Amino acid sequence: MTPPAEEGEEPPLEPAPAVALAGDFPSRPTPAEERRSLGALGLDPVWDPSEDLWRVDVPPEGWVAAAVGASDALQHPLSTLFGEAPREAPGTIRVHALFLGIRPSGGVHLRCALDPPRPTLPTLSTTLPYVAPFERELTEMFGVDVSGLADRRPLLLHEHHPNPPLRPGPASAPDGRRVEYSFRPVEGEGIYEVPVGPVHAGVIEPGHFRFQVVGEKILNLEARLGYTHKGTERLFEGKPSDLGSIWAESVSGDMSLAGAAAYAYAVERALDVAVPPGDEVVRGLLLETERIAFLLGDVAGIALDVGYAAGAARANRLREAAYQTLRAATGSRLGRGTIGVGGLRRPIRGNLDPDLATTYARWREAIGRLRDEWLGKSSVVDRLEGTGEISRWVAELMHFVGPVARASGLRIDLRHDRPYGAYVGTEVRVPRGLTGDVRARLVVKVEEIVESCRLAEEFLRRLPADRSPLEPRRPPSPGERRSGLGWVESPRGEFLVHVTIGPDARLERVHVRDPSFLNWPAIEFAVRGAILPDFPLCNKSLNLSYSGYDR
Amino acid sequence: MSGSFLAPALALVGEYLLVLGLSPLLLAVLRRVKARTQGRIGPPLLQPYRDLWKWMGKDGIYASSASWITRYAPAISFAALLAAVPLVPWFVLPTPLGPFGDLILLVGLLGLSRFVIALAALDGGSTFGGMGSSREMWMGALAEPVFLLVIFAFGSPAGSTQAGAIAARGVALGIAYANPPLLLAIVAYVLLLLVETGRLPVDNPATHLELTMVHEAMVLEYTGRDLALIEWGRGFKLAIMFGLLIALAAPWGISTSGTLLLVGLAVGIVVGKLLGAHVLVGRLEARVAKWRLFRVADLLTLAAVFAFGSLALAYVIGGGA
Repeated sequence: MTPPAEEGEEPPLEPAPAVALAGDFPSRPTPAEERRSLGALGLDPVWDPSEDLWRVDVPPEGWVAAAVGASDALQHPLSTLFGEAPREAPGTIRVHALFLGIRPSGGVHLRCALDPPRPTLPTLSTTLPYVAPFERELTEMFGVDVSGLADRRPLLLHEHHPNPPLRPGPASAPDGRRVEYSFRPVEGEGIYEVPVGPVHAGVIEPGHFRFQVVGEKILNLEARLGYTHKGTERLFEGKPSDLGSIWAESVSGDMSLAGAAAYAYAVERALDVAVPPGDEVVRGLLLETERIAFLLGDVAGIALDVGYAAGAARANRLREAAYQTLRAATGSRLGRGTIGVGGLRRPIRGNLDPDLATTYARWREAIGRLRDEWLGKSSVVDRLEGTGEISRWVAELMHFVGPVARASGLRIDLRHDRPYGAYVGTEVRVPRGLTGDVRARLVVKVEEIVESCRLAEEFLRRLPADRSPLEPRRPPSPGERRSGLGWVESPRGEFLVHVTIGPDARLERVHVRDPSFLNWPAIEFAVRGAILPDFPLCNKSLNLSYSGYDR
Repeated sequence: MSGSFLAPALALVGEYLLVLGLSPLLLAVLRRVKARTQGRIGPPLLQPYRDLWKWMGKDGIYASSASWITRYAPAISFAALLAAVPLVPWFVLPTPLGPFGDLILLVGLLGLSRFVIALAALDGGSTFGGMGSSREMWMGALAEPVFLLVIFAFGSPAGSTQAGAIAARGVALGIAYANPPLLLAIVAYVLLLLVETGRLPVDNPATHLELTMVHEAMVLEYTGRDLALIEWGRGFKLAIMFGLLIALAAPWGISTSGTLLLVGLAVGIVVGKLLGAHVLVGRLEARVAKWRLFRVADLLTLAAVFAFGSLALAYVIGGGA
């Protein structure tokens, strides 16, 4: 692969236009064309309406060809890869790989059954480098031997588990033995290592960073995570399907609403639960308010990390106003316990301030003023420009998502690409930057706040006048095994939840793919060649979730 | 003033009381000004005193790998800064110590205080300490020659490197003391002051991000009494740097007679000037972001150019002695 030439239709330092231009998206294959392409690869796809994907069962020997075909021929990146111990075939392990397409495309869902006692699967990471963390997780959680995988170090588990935690059998507790872990060595004269964390000076999540540095210049950074691994995916198992949102929203606590919504969509698609349109509009309103609050926090953090405390204070004040709005509506600053299967878990519409529309309009203006003021300050702009650059080529190759990818010039956003809920039929303007540096990320995030305010105002207009209290809806027992996929564009990017529900409406397997699972390598690319004191700024501009990666 | 030992001794005691006693308050004022620009109320004005009191009541804790350097460095650094106090004319002229010590000694003492802390940071063996030391010494190595140049720029018209002599000339000349070379020297000194005292945009004393720290990274390992000495010393180093600026740039108000009333007035004036300077820095810090580390070299280059310009101009217009 060679770096694609820059289109050059926009000057690189200008904020990206907030409107998605017609013709900006390449033409996508329709589901019928996808089927033909898959057929040409010798595959026999079945359309799965609960996932909106073409489902294909492939044997391990056809795994690589099918995955590369779905990725290259159909231009769908691998969105997630996970294992499952199917209840209907005890002892076997099934590996799923999901390739989400952009509308009008569907996408591909590859399934591969592995036989005991030594399940083996060839690696995809030689062709698709970003798949390596998925495969490392598959190895340590299910004991699958991924042949050809170069990096065989554990990903999340820091201790020895006698049998892999998600493999069938009795739940295994760590036996106390440490797992050997060695950082990539970098050697040479004058090179030294700086270990940072897992406990940091600020009140943030734990993670270890190992820098190899010469002078102040960073030659290499390696992040080691797993400190917040909670075994969330196993906690879902056996729970009633309408209660799972409790765990889904704590995957990344600062994106509670997005997590709960992705889970709810997955269960609703699996069980064919209809959601009242009014509830969908409220969900959209809450999701956009969460995005506003979250991104304002990012914007304030960037200001604070360049030492511009007065600017940070003003952004933080706006952010808190957004959280207070969420609190007034839902009783929780983070919107916890609000979005549930079938709609909303508690009445929201009665709590909404009648003047809410003017509040959003006011925020939209305030953040615009803040942006103009900051970008007019030479000492701020000097710190942001050219810091932590991620090229478009790297962003595409590593399949980064969310604002990180958009700042590097990729126009991807599930609200636009695969609309769900209230976003179906709604125009979502996707901003993007071109330079991929901290400034581009700041500008993209500010533009997204502006767009979220606009969307929130639109959802408020669409709210039905009927404010009848809602009744708790319990999903029906399906009587058979069902699965479903939910996707939500969270503030950090695409958030995926895949559920398998048993005949008794209890969860059998839930896989959560936080956007940070794809985006964490971005920090290693962003700081390469930068100086050490610029690391916190790069880190803040990416704002990766430790908890979402570790689960 | 002649003959008697009593008056200079009293003046010396007064200077120490002023600088040691007032510097925590000045720091509190600075912090409060910054807090106000962020929409916060800010800590109470007595907070730095309470912090010092709290630390004074606690023992130090030392890494097992640390040697005697770690234990004694805070005291040495503090003592070096203490010795620098009487080199600055605060409110009486001639300075109580008279001809003993000049500004070159002051640069040396500040350098000593910097050096022992950097050494102690290496001694502890932590990564951040080493990182902070390397940055602090890099800045110090750049700042010291510029500091000397700035002193020559101030001193050449008076023909002396003694702050007392320079200030005395200023007081005697009155408003005629302010001429273009002096203005250039003041600009150079202010740029230098930002580096020397580790304020924004050079170093952010309020940050929690270890990787960006300079001074804070060096003292991360300290607690208790040692931390009290370091923080107190840091506070009155700021006061020394401002005091020197005031004495060299705007010496008017410093008392040259021994009258108690005039000396009292001079004390009031110098406190007012110091307060004003701290408020000014607080407001400046609210407006700028922290610079990229290697931009500090640009700042010092600029200071050197201004100092050179001041020196050259002084000779051209005949201000040289």
